[in-house]
Amino acid sequence: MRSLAPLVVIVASSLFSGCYRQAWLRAQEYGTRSIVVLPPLNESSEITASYELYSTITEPLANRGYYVYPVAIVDQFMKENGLPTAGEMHAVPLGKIHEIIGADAVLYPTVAAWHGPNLATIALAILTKTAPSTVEARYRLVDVKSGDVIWEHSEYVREDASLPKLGKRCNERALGQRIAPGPGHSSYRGPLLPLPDTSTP
Amino acid sequence: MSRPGTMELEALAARRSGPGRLGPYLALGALAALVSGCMSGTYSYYWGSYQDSVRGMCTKDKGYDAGRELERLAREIQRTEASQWRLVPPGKYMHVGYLHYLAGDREAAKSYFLKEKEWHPESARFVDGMLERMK
Repeated sequence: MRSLAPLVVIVASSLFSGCYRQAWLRAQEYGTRSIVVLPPLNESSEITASYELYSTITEPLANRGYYVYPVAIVDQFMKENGLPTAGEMHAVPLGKIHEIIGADAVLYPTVAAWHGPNLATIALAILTKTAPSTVEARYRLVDVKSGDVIWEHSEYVREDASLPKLGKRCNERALGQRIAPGPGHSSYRGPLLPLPDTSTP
Repeated sequence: MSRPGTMELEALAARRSGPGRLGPYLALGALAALVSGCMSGTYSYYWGSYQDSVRGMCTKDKGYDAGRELERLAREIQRTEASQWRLVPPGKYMHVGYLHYLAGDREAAKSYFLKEKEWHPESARFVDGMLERMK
């Protein structure tokens, strides 16, 4: 083996081609500018997991270049309109979301796992002298106009840190890196202009 | 021809003290500036305590004090608006407006909602809906 360079190039190109690139191109095809994030479904045994994940979900997504609707208001608004649980919020028809919120896409998060070290892993924890906690979350980004799934991802974080920190890290890895970059802030600084008519569903 | 003459020696000396010597350092500095800019695009959001306020509101924390959160966020917004390279992130204006609305101050709520609409035009439909319902 004369040099590793050709092998590295082959391996790298095979990693970067394939599913990630497809997802990136697809997301840019839909031209998503604004995303409304719904409160996460909770499949874990910790009741507070849903809102812990929800509270750190805005930053990585907005830094990635999307407009993210204020999550506290979206949550409160849906609760006031007869949707008390995340399950019911996830079932809202996309036409309704388009009519009331006007988002280009909806992000449906789910907390799959949210637990610290438990009795089963304590023996291992003593041996390795670390006590890792686990957070696993799934995300699905759906285009409002067509109903297509633009992007879907599952992220798993297992580290020795507090659960809220792990939730934040999970969001940052999934939404800060795995999702395609958005168009970025419009950087519009000036007086209000009449907005284009987006009322056709 | 075989030995460098005085002119060649002077040229060599000039090269050693010119920007060529600092070239790698300049390149590194430029690269660092470029990379840090690339991380967030052309803008930079100042998040402050926005996400903490969201968590306090959603989880109904016992230590959550709406008035204090409101003051803190309003101060952060003022600082961000005064600074040159920072922007108020998506939803923060509207969140503060909503806190004002919950505290009973509808005029302040309306002004923050309109600011959200101005700075983030994607929020227009949602903001208009909120203003309608607030009447």
